[in-house]
Amino acid sequence: MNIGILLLTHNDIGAQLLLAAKSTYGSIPFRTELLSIDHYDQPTDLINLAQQYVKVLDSGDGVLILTDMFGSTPSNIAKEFCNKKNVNVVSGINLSMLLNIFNYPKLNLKEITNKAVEGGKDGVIQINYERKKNNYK
Amino acid sequence: MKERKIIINNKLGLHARAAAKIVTLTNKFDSIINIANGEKIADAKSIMKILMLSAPKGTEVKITADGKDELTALDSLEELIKGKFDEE
Repeated sequence: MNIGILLLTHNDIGAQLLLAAKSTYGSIPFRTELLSIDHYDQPTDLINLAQQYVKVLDSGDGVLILTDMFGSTPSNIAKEFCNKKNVNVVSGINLSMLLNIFNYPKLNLKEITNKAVEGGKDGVIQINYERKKNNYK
Repeated sequence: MKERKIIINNKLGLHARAAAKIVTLTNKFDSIINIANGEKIADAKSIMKILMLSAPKGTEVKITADGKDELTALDSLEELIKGKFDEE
């Protein structure tokens, strides 16, 4: 599979998460592009830009758009693509979502979308255990 | 099915980069591979499941493999863990 991934986020959230994921795996098994959005950007310009990114990323296997907070401008722009064929959109991007996606480079768009949601949710837990002494010594 | 017990000996335990190295390795094998920390059992081909084991340095884990390449899989995984994930 050759799925493209577009990180459509506020400011540098996507870039920093991608950087952290890259340093975790060493390399990224997907084609990725970043589109960061500042408060002064015009939504119509951004939709056009996002369309160009999606076109570049789609090699036939589809594109997964990852965005941050549902209801915010980045996610509203991403929402414009959710009914398009071969494009899926997931909000709530976090590092565990990215790491889980990069764990499965052979899956198709539908399967990798499920992994994105699953990984994102799995990463949100209340940490509540007694840390043993000397764990990090 | 084959199994082995190994102590996690690298300074940071089963952290993200170590888990990434594990899944990169285990996904090359056909066998079903698991890592267990006490009663918690994780699919060794899933980075999130490995991270959920929360296994710091000094933890004894049980690795199991079931399939036609189970021995090679366990040898490789044991080498990676005992080699401290090439971190130190």
